[in-house]
Amino acid sequence: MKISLFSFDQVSVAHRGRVLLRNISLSLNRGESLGIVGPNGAGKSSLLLALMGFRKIVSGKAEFLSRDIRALKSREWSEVRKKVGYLPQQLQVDPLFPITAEEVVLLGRVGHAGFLHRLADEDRSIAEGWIQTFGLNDLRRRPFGQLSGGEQQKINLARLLAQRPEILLLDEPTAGLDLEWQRTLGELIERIARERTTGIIMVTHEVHQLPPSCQKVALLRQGKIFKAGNKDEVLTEGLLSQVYGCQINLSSHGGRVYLLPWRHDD
Amino acid sequence: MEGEYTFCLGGMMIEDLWLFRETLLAAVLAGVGCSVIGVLIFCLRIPFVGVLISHAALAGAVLAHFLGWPELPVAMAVSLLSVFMVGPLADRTEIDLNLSLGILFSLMMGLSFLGMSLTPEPKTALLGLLWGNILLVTGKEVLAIAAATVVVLVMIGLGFKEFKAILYNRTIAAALGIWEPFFFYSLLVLCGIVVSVNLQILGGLMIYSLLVNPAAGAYQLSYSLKQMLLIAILLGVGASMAGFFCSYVWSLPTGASIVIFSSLEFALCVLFSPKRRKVFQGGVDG
Repeated sequence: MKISLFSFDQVSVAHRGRVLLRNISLSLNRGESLGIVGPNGAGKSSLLLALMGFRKIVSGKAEFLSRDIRALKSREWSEVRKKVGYLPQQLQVDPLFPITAEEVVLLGRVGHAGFLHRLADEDRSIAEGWIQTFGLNDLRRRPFGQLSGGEQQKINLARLLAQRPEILLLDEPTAGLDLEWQRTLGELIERIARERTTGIIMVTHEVHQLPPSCQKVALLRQGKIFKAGNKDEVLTEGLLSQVYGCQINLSSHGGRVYLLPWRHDD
Repeated sequence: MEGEYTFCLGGMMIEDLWLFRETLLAAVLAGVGCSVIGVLIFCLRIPFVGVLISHAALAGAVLAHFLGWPELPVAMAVSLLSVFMVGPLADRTEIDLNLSLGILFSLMMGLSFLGMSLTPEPKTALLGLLWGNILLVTGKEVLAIAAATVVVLVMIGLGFKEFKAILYNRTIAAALGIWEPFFFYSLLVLCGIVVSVNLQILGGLMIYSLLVNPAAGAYQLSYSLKQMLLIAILLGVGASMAGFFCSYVWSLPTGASIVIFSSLEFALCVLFSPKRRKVFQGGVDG
């Protein structure tokens, strides 16, 4: 049976009087992955922010984790967000800030434990499980702000998996990382996608970062869906060239699609 | 005089200590409450909220004086009002929180001075609010400070993991399913309470140093929030005690002595910070 994680029907999103997304219709079931692709300012991140309740949905029908999110109150949002693993674009943390890598992973359990409750042994063992899975033992006592971008992103990912989310919202998780880290993180995301126990929405410029098992892609331009559907139908040279406004060549390798914004004969 | 007293500390007699028991108690409690709140607003990167609140409390106290109402409740009400103005002001206008703090701070300062100039009687009592007078603290005031300090410690203790998440990042905290606005505003309200009860003894101009210096010092010394809180408490209580003793022994203004001691402590923390050295070394390979 398919369990719907989210469905948008003609949804528009606005922030401070500015329309960010217009007439978006998209949906995702448990076990599926959805790639959101498009140029800068297309509204990719806004889509995730709207799902998190950080941007306002002004029209349309929006269901998220079987709740009508347009009707949610501030307190109810906290309940919904507990089930969502949200990874925003990398945030700067002061190198002196008093939090260790391990504590960041444990933060993933804070919402579930709830106010006035201490973190239970179970919470700690869930966090510990991800620390082991990701091989973070050497980093655990290090101040989070002093780790490299790749290490921080790995810990962020462990933090949101410790949340045991029903859906993952990843905003350019590999941006700014070197090739080795791009690969490590890419493999981790593919592994999560393959397990098919959650849903993944991943925003990216670099479509080769989409996990190979991700079959649904939405191509956004200027706040609208330019084309959404199966990966093979959406990621075509013709459509991408139109959206990005320059000639783009495609190359496929190991289930991943690479975009080359240069002509072959240059 | 010799042999008359069993205990003597820098010219201060044990009987004098008893005479100043309320002042000493107030100094310790103010040190604890201000340092704890200071760590939180410092880690939230909005230490200036301390300045805003202290001047809002000042404006409230001046208003109360003008109307002939009790000072503390009005000071507290105005400082809480400022807290509930600054958050939404920053959210609505997309102005940085620290800028909004500055705008409201100058408004509160303006209101305070307007109120002072409109007050016909001698202004000594009002001017006293600017620098405070810990030596004249009354038993009632000590009780209020004690109550505020206990409330702060209990709240921080109960919501420690939530506050920690919010200090780390407000958006992430909200994304984790923490009811972020509740905790964020509780923190600002706690700050308002602590600042208004301590206004009379520390003064609107100097309370900032007891809020921020211990926190800034502790920030140099530890990577654990719990340790940071403990260190800040020690620094805060240390500065207020040392300031009090010096002011007694050499007849210096108490508030000023406390500020100077807490600034000295901060300088020492920076000087001996293991973090600075580590960051420097780590800068090469990491």
